[in-house]
Amino acid sequence: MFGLCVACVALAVVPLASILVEVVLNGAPALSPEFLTSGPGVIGEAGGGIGNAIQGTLILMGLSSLIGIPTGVMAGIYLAEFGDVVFVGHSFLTHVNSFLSSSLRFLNNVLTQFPSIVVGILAYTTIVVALGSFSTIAGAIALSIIMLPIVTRTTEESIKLVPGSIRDAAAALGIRKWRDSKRSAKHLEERSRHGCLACHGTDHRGDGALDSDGSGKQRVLPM
Amino acid sequence: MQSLQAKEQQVRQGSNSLLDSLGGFLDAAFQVLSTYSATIVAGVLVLMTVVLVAGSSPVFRRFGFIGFITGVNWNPVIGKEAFGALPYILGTLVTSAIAITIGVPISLGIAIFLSEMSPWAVRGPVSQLIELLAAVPSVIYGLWGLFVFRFWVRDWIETPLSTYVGSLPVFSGSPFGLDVLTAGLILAIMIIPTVSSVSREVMLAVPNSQREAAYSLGATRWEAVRIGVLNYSRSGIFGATILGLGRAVGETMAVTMVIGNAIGPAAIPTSLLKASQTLASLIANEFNEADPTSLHPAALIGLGLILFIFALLINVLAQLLVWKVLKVKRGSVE
Repeated sequence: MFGLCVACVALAVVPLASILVEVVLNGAPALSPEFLTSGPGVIGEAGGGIGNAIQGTLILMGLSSLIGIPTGVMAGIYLAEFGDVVFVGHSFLTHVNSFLSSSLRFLNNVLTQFPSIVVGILAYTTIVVALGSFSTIAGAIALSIIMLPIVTRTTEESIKLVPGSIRDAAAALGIRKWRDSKRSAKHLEERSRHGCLACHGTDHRGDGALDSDGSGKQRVLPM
Repeated sequence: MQSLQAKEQQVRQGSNSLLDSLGGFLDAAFQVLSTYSATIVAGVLVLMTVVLVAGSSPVFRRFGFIGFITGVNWNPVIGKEAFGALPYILGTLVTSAIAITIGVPISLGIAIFLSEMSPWAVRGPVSQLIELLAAVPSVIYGLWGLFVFRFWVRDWIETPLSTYVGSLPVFSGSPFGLDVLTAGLILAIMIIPTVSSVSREVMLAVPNSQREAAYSLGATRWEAVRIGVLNYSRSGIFGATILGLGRAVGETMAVTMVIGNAIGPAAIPTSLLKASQTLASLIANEFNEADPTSLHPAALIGLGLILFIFALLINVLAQLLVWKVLKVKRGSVE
């Protein structure tokens, strides 16, 4: 039984090792300063590089982070801090709020694993068709939709790890709620950024800070 | 005395009233802003539904919903249009089924190893290695599948299969390496990190009393895992499997590069050693070249709508299952 389990681990590690070895062995000789900086060459001839592609990737990453991270962090703060707020004397509002936050959390989790090609269709039919051509901004909006649920979820889980005593202490010092959250958000953004940058390539999680599949496990306390 | 108190109160009110009202406003504004940000997710899902339904309506009007999902022909040429999604629905289901059949047992083995058997020192590094599989971009899986894995599958699996059991319809066809089996196996590798990490968490949440009870009844190590752990965490493992299924169904690039990209009736996955096509891979292959004035984009958006429905059902089911388990987990901790 032990052997069988070890064999399972080996079966999973073999592809990983093979991918790393093949990519490094076949890819490394092609890398050179010219290749990394020059634009694409003439089709059918030798030469050319991936300078444009790298530039495009960086612009796309920057733009989509600009849209996705603030929205995601704010949404995460709502789910963690305001989702269970009790409006004293307004039981109706309290009910609405708790229904809203639990259903938004649910939808957020659903969207975390959504097929990226469907998001692509959404961006195409709304933005590309409206603007009349393919564009970086269309790509950035699509990517920010893909990263939004991941950022939201990571933010929420991280803020929830902040001990209640710190929240109480901040309130006792008279610190306003928004500043209090803002401070923790600053730490969080650093944490979640790892996840977000990696999600461009993998539309999955980055450094294992949070499993995007319901088993969140954080290693760093944000405060 | 009294005047001092009154003065103190006055100073306090005077110096803070402006800041206080501003702060109160900022508090409220912050809460409203964050609530709006959170509702964007719901907005995206609603917008997605509207866009997919509206975008695909021309093709449904022409062929009917049933006609579209049961049709097998695919011809975008204007005047000879025929759009049927059945081969690609089947292709998606078959490749995902292979991925689940192969990937889930391996993931469970890994999860059992990590939660029950491994020495403490190995636990961290091994689980990080497995999670590294999730960090590999899917297009890299596709490239690796095209240049490396394809030949492994062809030489070590498909050639023996074709030689010894090639007479069975499921294994008919010549081993080529770019087919349903390779796509399914690549997907199996890709779902391993998801399924194994969720199952591991679920198994770690099993209270120790379960294992102790099994041991005290004279169970061996394997029996303790089977009776105490696997039984207890069944619904969580099922949820993990469904999450893996969700990833397999929507996967695009890796599948597109290894499945062989057949079109029309030829894409019906009757044999494992046959080129086929999934919903996602067909959209990826043809969306860029589709003529906006024809029915072609509408048909591809129709495929997207079917994929959307699949993904929605799978993810909702998985969330419900995983939530249930996490609630149990929380209950056991408190």
